[in-house]
This record gives sequence, C-alpha cells and structure tokens, in this order.
Amino acid sequence: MEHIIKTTNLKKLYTTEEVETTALDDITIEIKKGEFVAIMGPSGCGKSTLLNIIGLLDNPDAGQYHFINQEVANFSERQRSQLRKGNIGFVFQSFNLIDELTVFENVELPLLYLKTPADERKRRVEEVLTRMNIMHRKDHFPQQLSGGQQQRVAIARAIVAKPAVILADEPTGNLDSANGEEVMRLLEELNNEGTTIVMVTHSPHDANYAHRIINLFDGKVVTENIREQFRV
Amino acid sequence: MIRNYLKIFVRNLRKNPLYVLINIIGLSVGMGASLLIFLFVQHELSYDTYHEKSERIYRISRSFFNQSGEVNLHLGHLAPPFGPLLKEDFPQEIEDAVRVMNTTLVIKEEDKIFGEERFYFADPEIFKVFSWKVLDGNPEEALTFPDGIIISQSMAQKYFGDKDPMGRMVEVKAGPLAVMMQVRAVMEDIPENSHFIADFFGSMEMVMAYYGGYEELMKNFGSNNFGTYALLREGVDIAGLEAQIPGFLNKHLQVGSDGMTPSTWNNLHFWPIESLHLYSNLDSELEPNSSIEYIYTYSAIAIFILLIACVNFMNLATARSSKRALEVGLRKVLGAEKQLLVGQFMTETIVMTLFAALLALLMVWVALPAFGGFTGKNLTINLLEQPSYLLVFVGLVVLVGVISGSYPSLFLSGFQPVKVLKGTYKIGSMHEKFRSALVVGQFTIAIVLIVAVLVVTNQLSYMKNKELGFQQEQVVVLPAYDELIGNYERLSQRFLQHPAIESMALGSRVPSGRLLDAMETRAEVGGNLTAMDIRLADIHVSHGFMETFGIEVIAGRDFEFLQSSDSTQAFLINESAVRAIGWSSAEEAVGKALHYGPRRGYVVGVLKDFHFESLHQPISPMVFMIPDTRFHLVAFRIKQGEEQEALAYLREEWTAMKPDFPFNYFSVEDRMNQQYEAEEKVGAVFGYFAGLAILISVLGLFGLSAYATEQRTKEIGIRKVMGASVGAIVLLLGKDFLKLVLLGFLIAIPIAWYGMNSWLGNFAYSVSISWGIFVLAGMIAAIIAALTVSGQSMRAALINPVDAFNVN
Repeated sequence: MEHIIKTTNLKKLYTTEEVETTALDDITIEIKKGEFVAIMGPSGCGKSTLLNIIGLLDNPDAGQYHFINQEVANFSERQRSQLRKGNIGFVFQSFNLIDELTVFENVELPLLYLKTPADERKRRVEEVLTRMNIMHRKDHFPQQLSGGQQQRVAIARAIVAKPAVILADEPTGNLDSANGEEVMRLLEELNNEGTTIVMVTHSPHDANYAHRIINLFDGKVVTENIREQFRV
Repeated sequence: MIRNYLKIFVRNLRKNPLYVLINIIGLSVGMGASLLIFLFVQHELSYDTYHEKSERIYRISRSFFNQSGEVNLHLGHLAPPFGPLLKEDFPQEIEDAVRVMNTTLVIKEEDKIFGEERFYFADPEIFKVFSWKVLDGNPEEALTFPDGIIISQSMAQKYFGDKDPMGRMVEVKAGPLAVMMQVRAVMEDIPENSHFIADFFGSMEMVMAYYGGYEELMKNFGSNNFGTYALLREGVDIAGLEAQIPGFLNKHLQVGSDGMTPSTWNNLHFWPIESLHLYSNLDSELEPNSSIEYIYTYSAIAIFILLIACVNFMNLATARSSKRALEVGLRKVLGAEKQLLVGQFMTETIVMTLFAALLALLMVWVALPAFGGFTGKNLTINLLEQPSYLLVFVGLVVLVGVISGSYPSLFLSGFQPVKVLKGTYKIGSMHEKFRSALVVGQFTIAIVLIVAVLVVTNQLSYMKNKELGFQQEQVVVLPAYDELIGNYERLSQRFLQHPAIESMALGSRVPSGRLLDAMETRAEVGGNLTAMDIRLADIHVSHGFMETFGIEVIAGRDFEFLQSSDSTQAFLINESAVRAIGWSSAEEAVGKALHYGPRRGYVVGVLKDFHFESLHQPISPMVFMIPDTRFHLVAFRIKQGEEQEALAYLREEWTAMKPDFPFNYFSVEDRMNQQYEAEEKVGAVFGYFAGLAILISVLGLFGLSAYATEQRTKEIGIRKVMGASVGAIVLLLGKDFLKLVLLGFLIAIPIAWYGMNSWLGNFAYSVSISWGIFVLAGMIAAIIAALTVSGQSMRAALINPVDAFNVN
C-alpha cells in the first residue's frame, strides 16, 4: 500500500540561550494510507514535536518529510496552511474548542476556511454532529458540555472536512474511562472507513486500537511494534 | 466569514464589557475631540474663500521704514488716493480697486437709536469685487447715490421689523455730521468666515465731505484709514506688480524736506484675501485676525489626542492577547492563513471604531453649541448636507481603525499555534517593550499638555497682575464730543465737583490702546539739533492726564496750567524715548530742545516707563503734548466703591450733551485684559483638551493595570502567603507603571520647554518657565497614574490568597 506520510532523518532542535536540546533525532518513519499508528514514549521524548511536524504545524530543522507524495519539509507557513486545510484533522487532549462559538459554529470552522457554500456547510456539519450523537447540543457553548461531549465535538470538527489523516494528541487524556472508550471506538470506526490515524498516547490500552506502535525515547525511534493481527 | 467574526466580537463584548467599554469610550472621546477641532480648523481655513473671485482679490497694506530700512510700522489700511491711483496706473493688472472705511456712528430711525460699529463707507464697485448675496435692490448702483446705503438683513429687521426696508430713510450721525440716508439695497448678513463683517455699506460721499471734497481726499496720503482691495486680472504676476510699486510711490508722493524719495520710507504690499485671517496681524486691521500658529497647535492637539486613543486601543488589545491566543492557534490549525486572521482582527477593530465614531458624533453634536460659543464661531455639523464632512468622517473611522487595529492584528495573528496549544506561549519582550513605549508616549503627550496649561495660565496671570507702571484700575473712558472739547475748562470744573470723580483728562489715545501715530523727530544731542531715526509715538493730552492715569514723572515736571507756553512748546517723554534719543539720563533730557513734526519746543519732564500697550508689545518711545484738536477720548478716575454713582452721573451728563447718542464707555482695566482674550482661549482650549488627553490615558492605564494585575494574581497570592503587606503589593504593582510615567516625564520636559518658550516669544514681557512647573506637571501625571493603578492593585492585594490560587 502507498505511504501517505514518510519522514527521513528528521531532526528538530530547541535552542535557548544556553542549552540546545535535540527533540527529534534522525526520525525515519513511514505511515501507509489507512493505517492507525500510535506514538508512545515517556514525557519529553518528542512525541508531540513529531506530531506537530507531521501535522504541518511546525517545520523540521533537517531531514525530509513527504506528505501525500510531496516534499514539504521546507514549506512556508502559508503553504503548510494550504495543505493542512482539508487534508489533516486534529484532535487534542484539551479539546481546544473556541469558547465564544457554539458547537455548530466550532464544527463549521474548517469548512469556512475551505470556502464551502453555506447550505453544504449546514448539511455536512449536521451530518457529523448526528454521527457523533451530539446534534441535540448544537446551539450550546463548549463550556455547557461535559468533557466527553466536548471531545466528540472536537472529533466532529476534525472529520467534517473529510481529511485523509487525523492526528490525535492524547485524545482520551482528559476523559474518564467510559468517555475515553467511546472516543477510541469512534476513531477506530473512522479508521475502518479508510481514514489514516496517527495518535500520540500514554495509554497502552488506547494504543491497542492501533495497528502499529512507534516508541520514542530521547527523540529517537527505539522500537516499532506491529501488532500481531496486522502483520503482513 | 465576516458573520463569524462579528459573532465572536459580540460574544467577547458580552464577556468583557469593561474592556470593550474602555476601548469604545476612549476612542469616541478621542475622535469627538478631534472632530470638534477639525470643524474649528475647517472654519478657520474657510475665511473669505466664498467669494467667486476670491483667488484674485488682494488686500493692500502699507509699510513704513526707518533710515536703516527696517519696517517700523505696517498698516492694513491705506491712505485714500492709493486705491483709485493703483487702478488708474495699472490697468493691465488691476481690474478694479475698492476702498472701505470703517467708523463707529449712530443711526436713528424714528425712535430707534443705536451706535453701530460695523458701518463701512465703501466705493460703489465693492459688489463687483466681493460676492456677498444681495436680497433686494441693485448693489452696483446703490452706492453711486450720495445718500445710498446697503444694509444687512438683520439690520433691516432691527430697524424696520417686518416692514419693507427698501427706500426707507435713516439718520446717520458721525461726530458733528448728520445726514439722511436711503436704503437702496439689502444684503444677506456677511458670513462669519470673513475677515471683516459689515452691517452697513454707505456711499463714500459723506467721507469726501469730511475730508473736504474729492480733490482734498485725493491729495491726502497721510490718513491711512482705508481698507483697500484690488481685483487682479487673471494670471497677473504679483511679484511683477509689487516690483512696480516703488516707482508708483515715487511718482505720486512728494520728496520730503529731508530729500528722501518716497520709496525709501514706505511701500505697498498685496495680500491674497484668503490668507488674511490666518497670516495678517499688522499694526492695523479691519478686525483682529487669528494666526496660523493656533491652527497648527490645535491640529497637533487633535492628532495627539487621536493618537493617545489609538495607543490605548493597541495596548488593551495586545495586553489581553493571552485570552485570544488559543483562538488564534486553533484557527491556524484549522487552516486560517495569517492574512485571514489579520482581516478578522481588523474587522473587529473597525466595528468597534464605527461604534465609537457614532458615539463621538453624538458627543460632538451635544458639545458643539458650547464649543461654538466658546470659540466664538458658529460651527455646524450635518453629514448629509456636507458630503465632504461625511468623507472626513468615514476617513477618520478608517484611519483610526487601521492605526488602532494594525499592530494588534499583526501581533495576534503572529502567534505560533504549536506554542499556543502547548501552553508555552509567552508574549515576547519586544512586544512588552513596544507596549511600554506606547504608554510612555501617552504620558509624554499628557505631560506636555499639562505643562502647556500651566505655562499659559502663569503667563495670563502674569499679564493681568504685572505692575504696568500706571494705575489702570478705576479709570473709565468715554468718547469726547466737540461740545465737551470746546468747553472743556468749564465742564471739567463741573465734573470734578462730583464726589465720585477724582480726576479727568482728554487724550488722543489712552493706555490699553495702540500707539499708531508718529511724526519726524529732531532732538538736541551734543549741542546740535539732529534728525532722529527713531519712531516716537505721540499722544495728545490735556492737563491732568498723568494724574488721572497715575503716571509717574521721574525728572522735571508735569504739564502745568500756569505755564501757558506748555501748550505750544512743552514735551513730556518717557524713559524709552530718552534712551532712544541717546540722552544719558532723565535729568539730562530735561530742558533739551525737541522738534516733533511741526512743533518746536523742549522737554519739560520725563515719565517713568509704563505699559501703554498690552504686554505683547515692548514699551515704545513716547512723547506727550498739549493741546491738539485730536482729542477723541475723555478719561475719568473714579473713587473706589462709587463706580455706580459715577457712571449714573456720567450717563446723565452725556445723554444731556448728546441725546441722540448711546452712552458707551469702557474701563481701561477691562480693555487691557481683553487684549489677552486670544491667550485666554488658547489656555482654556489647552485645559480642556489636556483634560481629555489625560482622561483617555487614564482609561487606558486602568485597562492595562487591570490585566497586569489579573495576570499576577497568583504571584500576589504567593507573596501574601509569604507575608507581604497590602502596601508592599500595591507598591509592587504600581511601580512598573510609575516608571513609565517617569520616563514620559523626562521625554516631555524638552518638548514642552521648547514649545512653550516659542509661544512665550509672542510676548514682549513673559514669565520664565520654572522647574516648578515641570515638577508640578509630573506630579499631577504621577498622582493620576498612581490613583488609577492603585485601585486595581489594592483590590488584588486584598484578595484572599486561596482565591488567588483558585483563579489559576
């Protein structure tokens, strides 16, 4: 199967006045279309940095990054933004919904930036809200919802533009186990429908949903475990 | 998308009403103040532009030189022959030349008698040059009738009520002359934005009679009483025309006894009438003009206030950026490009600016009558009827919106989503510094304005309280009629018997007026009678003048009744004249020969220098003599506390002497103070706008300190747990802001010093700017800032530490 994400010798440094920290060191990974990959490792190992680069939120300092067959490592902020729109959906640990916008408006946001016509926006937002089982709260503000509901809104927002990849940064980190479970099942369902999913997690339980687990330590890939049933 | 932005804006407003309110009030006060100033400046710049041919109309002035070629007198009036002669000699350049002569006279219509100050005798062609609107009659014909007058609409109403004024007769009395004149045309009231406003134009015939006929009038090159205007032909080169004036003067004026050709001692100058109001402040003007410096000053104040308001906006918007950071980060993650976010924040700013602008319009509308009354201008604002104003208004909204919104938009849209979402986002020190610089800038402006207010106030009180060298209090002045002058000795005995009147005297001019009369002087220096290259201003007085005005004789003696030769040979001069002539002392001057104009005599006494004119002018060399027929005024020194009785008595006497004349008097002290009216207005304008500038700055500081305090709530909690007192915490939070005020103060000192010193340069006598003023201004600013900030920090300091932790 063709890869959708491929990094070669990716490096990322953080420099302050005195110290230079290597956040990512020669990361070379490949993620195929339709895969569900979990990235694990202790705090500070570079998981989130890697996810940000994969998500085109940040540029690497060295190395190559192919995203959907394009070299994007040296893209400008503007080019990255163009590519991000519609191709990548994000789910965060702390949901990151805009407090001043209602559920409907939050989910609508990516479509606004894609300049989708209003009637289609309405149809698609309602479609995902129904699917996420949160349609009845569409006029509420984020702070009026429970954590689980907020994360379902965030997932709705991530998928409304039908992206090829969903990047999830500890999606269950702020949820109780029942709500967490539900979120994981939703991600699995999306993956089954063909969406590539890359998830950073601390939880071995959540990682079990993935086909493959990449373990990072001190900015390096230490192991890649392909779970038994997905071995080719 | 815009709807989305507006939604966020409205919901932010609901969540942070204080922030939005501070911003909108600050902006609206700033915009309101600058709109008011704009209206005022616009009005000032519009003077005399409404005439159809205004670009071709020139007022001609006459300057006089001393032997070194320096201008020592520059009059906005010409002698009567110049107008007609210019037109005759320069037919290629001058299409028309007209003269106006202003006089105060009395008009009587049946039982209505009024003194009229805005009566102008004028040449018949005046309406060919100026385009005032005529309601009835033929203005070009009206003044060709020897008895013709043109009156303004409001004068028609005043004298004739609802009756048709055309063809009606009024009695016009000027001094001993009284004639019947017929209304031949009615004009609309002359617009307020005119350098002179006439209520009446009368035929020149009466003036000619006064001067002894046309021939005499055309020979009189000394009576500079005629405002003279030339309508030039299209495309005339003014410099070329002015270059021909010396030749013109040498042709028509006679060479003096001293052999000097006329062009060496006087010249004529052409002034575009559109420039008169703001650029012409000569020794004589038809009406006092304003000055372009005031326009610059007011415009600068408007710009400063607007800047302060914009700075507020920027500061508050960036200070609370942490609240918007997450939103920015998310929008970027979801695909918003930088310019889209800039667009979003600019939209928010423009919406807020628009609200503020509407509020500003309301403020202007409410304040306009008061502001108009205060500036003495009839200012109006009606956006629908004045489309150019609508354009200015829209321009202002866009300008303020762009200035205020640009920095916050760029700043906010520059957030990096990775950092924001991770929570490692921090405002860069560059931005912190920029914001501090903005606060420093605000306080610099505010302190400069405070210093300006203090200096203007000081100078005003200095001028009002300065020892003038004579006693200006308790003196009232009345017009001296021929009946009084002719029988002065007898009548003065009668007046002086009244217990409320201490002394009285006649004079051609009295202190508080201008010194515009001067003649050739020769003085005995080193044993020889030498022609003096000085301008010695003369005053013709009766006995008792020095006593009435409390002017001190420091050498020799005052004029004396018993010395009959005093009325033909004696001169009193002031100390400045002694110095100007070159005598070593007042004592030396006494007894020296002096020839002044046609009079040959000697100095009998020297007067201590005193301020005859306002403190704008240095003390001129002066000479006093008696008697002359040129008495215009009579002054009375009145006993303190008996002003009412004295005035009642004088009114009775004056009315008996001239039943048809209104009783008009002035007090010397009042008239002296009136000369500082322009400065008083400037002082008040500075005061009001400094107040507004401070108000806006305080609003901004309030908002800023609120956010600063909010951000440090946790720190405050920890410090309190560690044992910090409330005072220590207030100090902690306040000192950052006070540092900014201090810096603003240091920057303000040189600016204020330079600006106010050049303003004080307008006065021959002025206060010096003391350090005390700067210290006071700095303290005012610091105290205001401290009060503003301490309210916030006090509240934070009094919070229960546990609550402080919970916030975070």
